[in-house]
Amino acid sequence: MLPAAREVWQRAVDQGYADPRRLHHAGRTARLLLDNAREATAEALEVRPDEVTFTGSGTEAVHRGLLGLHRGRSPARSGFLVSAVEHSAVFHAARWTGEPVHELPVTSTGAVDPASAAEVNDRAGPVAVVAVQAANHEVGTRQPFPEIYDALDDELPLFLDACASAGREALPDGWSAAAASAHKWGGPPGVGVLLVRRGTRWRNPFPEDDRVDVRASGFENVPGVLAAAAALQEVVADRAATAARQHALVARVRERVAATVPDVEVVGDPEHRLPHLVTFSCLYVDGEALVTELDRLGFGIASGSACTASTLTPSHVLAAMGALTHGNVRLSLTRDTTAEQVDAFLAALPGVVTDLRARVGL
Amino acid sequence: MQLARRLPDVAAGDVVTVVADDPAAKVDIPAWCRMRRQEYLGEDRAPDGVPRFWVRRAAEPDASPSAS
Repeated sequence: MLPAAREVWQRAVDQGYADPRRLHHAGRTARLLLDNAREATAEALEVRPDEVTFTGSGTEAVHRGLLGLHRGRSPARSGFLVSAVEHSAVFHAARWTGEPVHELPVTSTGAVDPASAAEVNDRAGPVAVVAVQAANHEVGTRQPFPEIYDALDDELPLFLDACASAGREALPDGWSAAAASAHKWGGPPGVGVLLVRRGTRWRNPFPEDDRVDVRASGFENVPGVLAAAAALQEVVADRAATAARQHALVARVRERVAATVPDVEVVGDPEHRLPHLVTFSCLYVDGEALVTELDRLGFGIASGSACTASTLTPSHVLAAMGALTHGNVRLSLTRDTTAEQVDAFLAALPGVVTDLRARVGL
Repeated sequence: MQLARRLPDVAAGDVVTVVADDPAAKVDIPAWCRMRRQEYLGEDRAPDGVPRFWVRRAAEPDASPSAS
């Protein structure tokens, strides 16, 4: 969590503890703080305040967004088009309806191919919702939005999973509902954001709860949403500079890893991607062993270090791209990651890979 | 990995079949062929129903892991 978000959260625990639906002083204060958070979030995401709903997580925002569009469908429509590289939460929610889920194939970089999307759309008939993410959470590839949209049926509402990109980048146009997750932009855990475009046929897929916001349920997490909004404002304010710096560092990682490590493949789109994320696959190396070794050298999940890395075994995203699903490492740069830390990682990596291959006799 | 070890033992142009029940093999064997510039011929099933993958050894470059 960003320091600014932590400060806001601590103050809001003292001031915003009450039920924002009550009319006593403490309740009115909580309501004011909740409305402030909604307005700040709307401004940062360039949407209207009445399009913003706070949820308990990014996953809950995905469920409500996707399933709410599905529930608002016209009776002649059923089923989903879902890009093959969506987060598993999207697949699980779509399958939960029991209706057909048609996958939109992706290219080797992880981008939806508009021509194949058009074919799937024709074959599937009139589906209720199409779900395509803004950018991929594992390989960083951005989806080619206007082209995808041109390939599909005009009446089809788009559910946009923006969990990996919201805050770091402006939302692409054309969505009917979208989901984001505060911890991804340095906000607290337990806060998601559901966006529903004004005029969209969205119907609550779950029981109503008579709260401040009819699209949400449960007692409002006022300190959490305020901290989320504060973190979002901070990230959006300097995102151009952060993105330029991170984009260049990741470009360096992509270039050096490919040049210095034999039998490696850097996956995802080299240009049309999130600025901070890179994944590569090494032949003949166990991904977990690689993460463990790098962690031992100080490059790991531990806070304050250069990067976080995790194994992806076996990832449906990489499988859909036709990329090697073993020996994968995902590097995610933080706002504070320096060029020196990246260079130290790049200097250590070839030796680690060589050692691990030697252990298995390759 | 067994494929990488054994491929140098067969002559260029010869075909190797890999029988593997690991679900990742379906993706990883074609990916290995692409990365090592070997020819991936396709997939079928062995008589006992286990997936079987067909790979032809390329003449050049060498399929063995790079010395590093």
